[in-house]
Amino acid sequence: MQVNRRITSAVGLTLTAALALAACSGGGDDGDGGEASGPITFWTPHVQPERMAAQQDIADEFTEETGIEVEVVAMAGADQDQALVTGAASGDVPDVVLHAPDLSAWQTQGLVDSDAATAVIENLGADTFNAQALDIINIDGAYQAIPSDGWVHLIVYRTDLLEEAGLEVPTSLDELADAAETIRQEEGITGMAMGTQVGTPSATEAVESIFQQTGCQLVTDGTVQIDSAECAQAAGDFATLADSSAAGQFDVDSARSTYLDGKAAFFLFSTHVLDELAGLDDDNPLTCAECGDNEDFFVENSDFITVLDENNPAQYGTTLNYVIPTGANTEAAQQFVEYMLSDGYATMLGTAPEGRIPLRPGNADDPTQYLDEWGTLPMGGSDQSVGDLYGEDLVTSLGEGMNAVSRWGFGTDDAVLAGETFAQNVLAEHLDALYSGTDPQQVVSDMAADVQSLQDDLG
Amino acid sequence: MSSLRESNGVKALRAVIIVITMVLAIGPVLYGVLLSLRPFAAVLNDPLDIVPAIGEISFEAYSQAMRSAADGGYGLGGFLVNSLILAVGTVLASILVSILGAYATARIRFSGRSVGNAIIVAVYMFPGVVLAVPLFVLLSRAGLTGTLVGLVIVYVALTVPVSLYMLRNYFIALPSSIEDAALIDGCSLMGVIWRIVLPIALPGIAATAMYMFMIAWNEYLYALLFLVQERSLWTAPLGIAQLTEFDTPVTILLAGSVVVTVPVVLLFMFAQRLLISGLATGAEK
Amino acid sequence: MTRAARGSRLSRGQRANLHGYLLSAPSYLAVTLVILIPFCAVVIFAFADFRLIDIQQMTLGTIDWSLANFAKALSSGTFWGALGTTVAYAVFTTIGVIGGGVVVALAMRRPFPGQTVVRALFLVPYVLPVIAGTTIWRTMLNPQYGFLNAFGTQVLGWETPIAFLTTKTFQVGSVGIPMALTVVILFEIWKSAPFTFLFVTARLQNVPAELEDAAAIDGANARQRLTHIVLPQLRTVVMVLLLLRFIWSFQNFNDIYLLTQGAGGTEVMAVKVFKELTVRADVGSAAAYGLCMTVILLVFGIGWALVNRRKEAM
Repeated sequence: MQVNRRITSAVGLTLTAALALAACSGGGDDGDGGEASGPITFWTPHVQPERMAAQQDIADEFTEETGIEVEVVAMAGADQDQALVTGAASGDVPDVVLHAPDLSAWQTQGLVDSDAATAVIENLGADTFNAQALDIINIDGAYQAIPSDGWVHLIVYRTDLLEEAGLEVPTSLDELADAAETIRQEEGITGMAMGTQVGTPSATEAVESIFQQTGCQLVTDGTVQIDSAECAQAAGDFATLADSSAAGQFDVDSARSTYLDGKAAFFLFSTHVLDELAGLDDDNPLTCAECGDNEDFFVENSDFITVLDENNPAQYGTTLNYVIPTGANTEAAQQFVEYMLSDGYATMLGTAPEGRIPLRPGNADDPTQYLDEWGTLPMGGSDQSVGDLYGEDLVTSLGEGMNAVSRWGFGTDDAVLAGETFAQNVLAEHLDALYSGTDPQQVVSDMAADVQSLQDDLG
Repeated sequence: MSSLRESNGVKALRAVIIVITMVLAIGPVLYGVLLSLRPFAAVLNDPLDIVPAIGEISFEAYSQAMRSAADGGYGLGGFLVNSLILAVGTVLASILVSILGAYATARIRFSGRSVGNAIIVAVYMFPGVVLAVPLFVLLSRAGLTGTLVGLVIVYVALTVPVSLYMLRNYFIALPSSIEDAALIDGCSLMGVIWRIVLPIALPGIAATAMYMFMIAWNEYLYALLFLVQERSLWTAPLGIAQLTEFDTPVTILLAGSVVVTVPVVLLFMFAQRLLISGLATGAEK
Repeated sequence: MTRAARGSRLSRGQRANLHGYLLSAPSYLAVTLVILIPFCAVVIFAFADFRLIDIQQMTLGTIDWSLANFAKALSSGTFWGALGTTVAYAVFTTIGVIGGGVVVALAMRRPFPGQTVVRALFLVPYVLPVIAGTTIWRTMLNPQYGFLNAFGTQVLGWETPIAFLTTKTFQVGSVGIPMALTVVILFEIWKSAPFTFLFVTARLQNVPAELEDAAAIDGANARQRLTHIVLPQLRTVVMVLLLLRFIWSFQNFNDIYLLTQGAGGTEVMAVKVFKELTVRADVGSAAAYGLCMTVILLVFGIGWALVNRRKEAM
């Protein structure tokens, strides 16, 4: 009994301590929240050293102009999620975060200052932004962030191989699947290189990218749609595409190295591949047999499908957006974002032009100023721009392509469900069954059941 | 050990088990070491050919992994230094704290010590992940997030229960007559611990320290939660895990893995006997 | 057990208490500060209805007490799924780690040339930092350039490589194997069986040889000596390991997260808690999940203590 009493009192003691902790948490509204123009912190997912240096330069120019100091912190997207949670809990949040549009969790927990974002968008002029990009970050009728730039998926193909196999450029998913299968059979190499590895983020991306080509939707207005006929058709084609691999299942890296090795005819990748095809990226060297003699082999023999099926213009892609967290130094943050989307914009996009197509194409005076500047930005530390290598047409079609940026659920009430489905690789888990010959309609029905149960869990 | 004869069947079975275990235990490790010596392209081209050709052996992956980012490397050298500071700091603090605590529970009959023991055991029932948020709030109030000191405090608390337990068992196993004599001779309690208990218990303390070192050297979750914003403070496990996320060639990751392993293996080879007897004493109780 | 026996202004008991408290104060301080206080906060979070942004303004008086976090967790399929995965993971790793360690320790019992070296090598997976172990396994199992898949496709004639770490269910004939889960379990056995091996070896060294000799003289064969003499001697150490291993496996985060990040049906409770926290920014829900883990472990611990007490009484 003696012991029991002691345990009770020990528990009591710790509880009191916990209360004291909770109580002293109450008064904590210090930090850099209140000041008008203290130094601000900016989290960027562009963590590569040379990009960091470029961003620091822009920040320095901003400081020179406004007197507001900026600390640029490198932080990948997943780390931002985690760091903002711990930061918000302890009252120490950054002032500006450049982040993907999956903002529903932050918005639900009250971490995002949507008034601050809306004010910036209105100040710069909502009509100077890409409408689709604005739509994506509009949750519950309010802008949660300010769109900056984005990339989309392209289908890269080898013109020489298609010619050799007597194939036309496909204009629908069915045609693409047939073409990939033909290549596999006739040429003995991979038809389509894309992320197919069961249950991985690579495959999750590829599924959303490919499925959208038939008009397949994950969910509309709260109703799970992934078991529709369009989705079943897409699943069947996806299986054919995956089966056209001569090297098993791919993740995005191995898909890329296969194409750069000359061992694939089609290749699904983001616009980031534009510099790599030209051999401008040292980390991803060209390894194909022909590349030894001709560095421009892929530039000469590759072409791009930006929109596969004119009936369903839906390009998988993503956008980066400036988030101003609740509790940030709002005024300075807003000034910074406005600077990054005007005077500092071209330099910012120049850190990686191939993956950063502007979502604010111009301003009131010149509606295409920034897109035009973007087309001339040199890629990958070289002096060649997208325009130089691939022609002005591609610049224009990429700029327009951003209007077709499409992600399941984003910008609707279904964003949470879509985000969870994506994060948990729910659909990609079912690829195994698809590859082992299960009827595509059955597979998408199983997918729907899983998405449905996820929806039930989310309540 | 018994001198009994064994049938050939039993002997053969023993041999088979030993050989299989051997292959399983060090096969993967050897594989990792060998791959880290090959160029990445060679690994991609022929994954089955794991033994590098003589001319192919290259330590480039190691030097690239270790060089700082400014020198075009992956900065692992710096991460290792952080890990070392953290692990040594944890060991020193944790051992100091737990020697005192273990001595108290082993030698002094003070009321309430069983409650203390119970709390420390119960602590193991609390999953570390959950504690992260309040812990972060607490440490940020003390201005210790994003510092190695904050992490040392966390690691000390994580290791203290185990090291208390291990050391207490040592102390109980030691004869207490000398201490008693010294106390009667007017030595202070701290004097007794410092001059008499420590020297006798040194093997046990070394074994415990090694175990603490391994825990601190290995830790990943709290390093991720507390240091992710401060790249310059990343520990080796955190650094390698982060590099895994960014398209880093696998040869670099393997080279890094080998490098983080070396200090622990050296330490372990050095103190293997100590650890075995240390753990065994713990297990007997 | 002794204590200082000499005259003093304080009574012996008081002096012992004082010394005891002073010496153990740092230990308790560290544990209280880093574990107990945060744990109490976790309890509060679990029973409170709040948004993350409001944590700063939370005081006991203003907390909106609620069972919503638990109601939501317990009514969701993910919770039970994660719990099932965790239990399966903990049970199978515990069995594998203890079984493997005991078998190898028994096989290694008799001295042979080079035994010390072999024993040291057996311990390598245990000593290997987790990050190194997971990196090597991820490489080895990689569908593109991993040894196992290359061996499978080139030598064993598999049709396609197997994505070991991301495949939820792998069909062998009509039987579905939870592939990724099996791999993380095997990894844990590989990494932790040496720990059991150490403990059991130490215990075996203390089994008196006379017992076995006597049994042999009485005509007991090898198997009988093993089951009747040696194994009973291991009971205590195995019971201790059972408790420790189960608790560790049940809470394991690092190994699983570093291998699969919870993909392929390996989302155990600890990983789930981490994701509730980081991906969904839902501290209340994470706390509720964590508390449930603690309750389950406490029940297990109490059950263990009861079983042990009864056995010992016999």
